[in-house]
Amino acid sequence: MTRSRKTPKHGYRVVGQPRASAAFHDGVRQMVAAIAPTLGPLPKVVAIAPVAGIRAPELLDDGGTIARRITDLPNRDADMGAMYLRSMLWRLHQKAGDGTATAAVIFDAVYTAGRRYLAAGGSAMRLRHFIDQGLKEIVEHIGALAVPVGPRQQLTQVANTAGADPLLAGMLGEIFDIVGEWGTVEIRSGYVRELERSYVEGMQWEGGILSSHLLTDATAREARIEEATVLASDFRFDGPDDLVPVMELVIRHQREALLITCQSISDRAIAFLVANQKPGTPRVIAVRTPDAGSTMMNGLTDLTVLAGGRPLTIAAGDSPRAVRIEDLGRVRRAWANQDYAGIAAGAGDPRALRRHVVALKTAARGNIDPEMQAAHARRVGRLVGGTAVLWVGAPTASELKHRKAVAERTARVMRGAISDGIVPGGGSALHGCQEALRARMGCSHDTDERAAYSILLEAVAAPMQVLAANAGLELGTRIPRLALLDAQHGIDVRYGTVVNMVEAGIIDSAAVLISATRTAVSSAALALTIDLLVHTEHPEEVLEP
Amino acid sequence: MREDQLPEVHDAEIVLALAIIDSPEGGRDIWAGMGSGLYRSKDNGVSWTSAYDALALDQPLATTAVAAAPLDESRVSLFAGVPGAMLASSDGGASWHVAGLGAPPPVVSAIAVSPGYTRDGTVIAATLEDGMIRSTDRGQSWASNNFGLLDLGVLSLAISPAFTKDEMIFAGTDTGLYVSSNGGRAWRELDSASELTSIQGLALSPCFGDDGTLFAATENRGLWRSEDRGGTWSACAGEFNDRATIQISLDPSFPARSRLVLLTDEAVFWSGDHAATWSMLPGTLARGVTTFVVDDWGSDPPSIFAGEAGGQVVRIGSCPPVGVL
Repeated sequence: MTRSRKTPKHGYRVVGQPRASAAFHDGVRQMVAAIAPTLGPLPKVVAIAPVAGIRAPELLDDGGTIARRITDLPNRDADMGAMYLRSMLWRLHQKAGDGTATAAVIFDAVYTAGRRYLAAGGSAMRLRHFIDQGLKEIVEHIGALAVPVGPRQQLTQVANTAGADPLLAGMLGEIFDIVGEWGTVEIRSGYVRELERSYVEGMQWEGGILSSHLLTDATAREARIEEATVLASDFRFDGPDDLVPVMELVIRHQREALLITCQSISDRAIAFLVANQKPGTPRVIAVRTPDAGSTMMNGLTDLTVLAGGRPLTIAAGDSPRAVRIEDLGRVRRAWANQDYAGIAAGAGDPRALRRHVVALKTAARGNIDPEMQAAHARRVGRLVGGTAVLWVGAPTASELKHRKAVAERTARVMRGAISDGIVPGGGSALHGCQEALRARMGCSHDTDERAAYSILLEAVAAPMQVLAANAGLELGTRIPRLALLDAQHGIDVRYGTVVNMVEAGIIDSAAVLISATRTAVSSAALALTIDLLVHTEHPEEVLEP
Repeated sequence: MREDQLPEVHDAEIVLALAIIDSPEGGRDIWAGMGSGLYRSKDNGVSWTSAYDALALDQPLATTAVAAAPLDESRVSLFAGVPGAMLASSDGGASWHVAGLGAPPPVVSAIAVSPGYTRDGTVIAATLEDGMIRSTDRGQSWASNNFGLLDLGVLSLAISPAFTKDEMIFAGTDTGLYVSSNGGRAWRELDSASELTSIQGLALSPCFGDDGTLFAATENRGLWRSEDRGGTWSACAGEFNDRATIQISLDPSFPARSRLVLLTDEAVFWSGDHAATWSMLPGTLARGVTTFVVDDWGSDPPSIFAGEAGGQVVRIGSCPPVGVL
C-alpha cells in the first residue's frame, strides 16, 4: 500500500532577461496608468471593482489609496513590477501623507528612460550611481526654493493641495496656524455631520478621573479646581492611611486644592476623600497617571516640568508617607472628566521648560523611527501650549472613515510644510531644476553620467506634463514653451495660463515634494539594476512506495 | 513745572497705568489706572473724576492697565484691566461691559489695541499669570491664546503699527521675548533675544512695517534695540547697562523725528538722536515715577505726564500749555 505525503519542497521559477525587465516594466506601467490620472487639481477618477459581492465600484482620486487597492496582477512577472512600485508608494503615503501620484510619474519617467539606455548597452550599476548623484542636485534645488509657509491662507492652500475638501482645508488651516509645527492635533470622529474644532489649553492626558464621586460638576460630568497643588506620582492608594500624610502636608501649608495622579485608588481611599470634602479642607481630584504604561515616566516628567515638583514613583522608592512640600508642584487650574485630565498655567520654571522642550525637539528630529519621532513631537505639543481637537463629521460611516483618513494624512503634510516650507507647485519646482541638471551634464564627459542627467531631465519635466495632460491641455500649442519658465512660474492648468505659482496659491509642501522625488528616483534607479525575477512555486504532493 | 494731584483714596496708592487720547468732544482725555480705580481728566490733569461711578463699587477696584482707541468719529473705546476681568466702555466710562477672565483671577499687566481696531475690533491683553488674552469683538469677550508661550507671566506688550498687514505682536516676559505673526493666536520665542530677560517695556517704531525697529526695556540688562523685527539685538547706550529700564516710548514721527523717552528706576530720560545719547528729564530724578505718557513730543525736551508711587500724576516739561491751572 502506498502512502502519500506532502513533501516540504519549494520550487522556484527564475525569469531572466529580456523577459524580466519587460515584464517588470509592464507591471510598473499598469500601476502608473492607474495612478497618474489623479495628479493635479483636475484629476480623473479611477473606478476600482469590489473584491467580492455586487457592490458598486469604489471611485478614488487619491494615488496612495489606489495603489493599496491593487493587490496583484494576473501575470506574476508583471505583478512583481507592480508590487515593487505599490510598496514604494504606500510607504511614501504613510510617511509623507501625499505625493504618491507625483512619485509614480517620476518613477515611470526614470525607469522608462533608464531601460531605453540600458537596452542600448549602458551599465545599470553606473547609471544608478550617477542618478543618485543627480538626485542630490534636485533635492538641493528644491530645498533652496523653499520659503516658510506664510499666513493661514497659505496653510489652507497646502491642505487643499493635499486633497482635503475646502471645509476641512479651512479648518486645518486655522488649527495649524495656531498650534504650529509642534502642536498636538487630535483628529477624532465627531458626533455630528459637520466639522468642529476645540482647543484645550495646557497639558492633557488620557485616563480621566478615578472616581465619579470626585466630580465637582455632576451635570457637566467634570471636576475643576483652581490654585491646585500637584502630587505627580504612580502611587497606589490602598486606603486612607496612604492619603492622610499627603492631606496633612497640604493642609499644613494652607493649600486649597490638590491634584493627585496615581495608578489606582481604592474605594476606601475615595470614601475617605469624599468624607473629608468640607469647608476648610482642600478639594481633591484624583486622576490616572499621565501616559500610564511604558511611557509613564515621560508623562510624569512632563507634568513636573510644567507644574514644578518632581515625579514620585514606586520604582524609585518614593512613598506617600515620605512626600515633602518641595516634591509637589502647583498649577492655576486642573480639571478632569471621565476620559481626560489636564492642567493649565503651571508654576514650573519657564527656563527648565524651555530646556526640556529643546531636548525633546532635538530628540524628535534626530530619531529615524517614525513612531519615536511622533511620540517626542506629541510631548512637545502638549508642553508648548495645548491640544487642538478636530472633530470630523460626515453623513455616513464610510464617508466619516474616509474623511478622517484624509484629515490625518493632510495633517502630516501640513506639519511638513510648516517645518520645511513650501515651494511653487504644479511641477514648477521640479521643472526649474533643469537648468542645474543641464549644467552638470554639460560638464561631464562620461557616457553613463550624461545619460543619468538626461534621464533626470525627463523625470523632472514629467509631473508638469502629466498635470497639463490630465487637465486636457496641449503643451506647446496653447502654452509657451516650457523651457522658458523659471522655477517660480508655471501653468495654472485650471485656466491654461502662466502664473507665479506661489502668488496664485499653487503651492506644494517642500517636505512632501522632496520625499516623493527622493523615493521615486532612488527606487527607480535601484529597479533598473534588477536582472532576474524569482518566483516561489507551491509544494507538490508526492507519492511514495 | 506744574503739579496736579489725584484724590488719594488710601495710603498705599500708586499710579499703575496712564493713557492719553484725543476726545471726540475736543481736547484730550487722560486716563490714570491706580490701585483705587480708574480716573479721568479732561483738563490736562488739573482735575480728576472717577470713571467707575457707574459700577457702584463698594470697594476700590485696582486698575493695572488702560488703553484707549477711537471707535468711530464720535466715540472712543476704553479698556481697563482689573484683577480677574477686562472692562470695556464706549461712552467715556458712563457704562461698562465687564468680561470675567475666569478663576483664579489673573492680573492684567498691559493692553494693546489693533491699529485697525475700528474695522477688526481686536484688542490684546497680557496677564501676569495666564499669558495672553485676545478679543476680536471690541472687548465683549476674551479668549486665551498661549500656544507657544512657555512663560505665562507677561510683563509687556507691543503691537505692530502695520498690524493689519503683518499681524505682529511682541510680548515680553521674565525669561524671554515672544512674537506672534498671526495676530496673537500663537507665539514663538525669539531665540535671538536670549539675553533679554525681565522685559518690562516694549516699543515699536511707527514705521515698523518698513524699518523693523523695536526697543526692549529690561529690568537688569538695560535698553536694547532691534532693526530687523527682532532678528538681532544690540544694547543701547552704555549708561543704562546696569540700570533697570521700565518703560520706553517713541515719538509718533520716529524715525524722522528721532525722539525717545525712557523710564528707569532712577529717573526719566529722553533722547533726541535715535537713542545715541540721553538726557535726564528735569524734575524726574528720585521722584518714584512708576509710569508715564508723553504729553507733547514737540517741546524741547518732550513734556510728559508721570504717575508716581504716591498716587500723583505730575506734568513734567518745559512749557506748560495754556489753560492748565
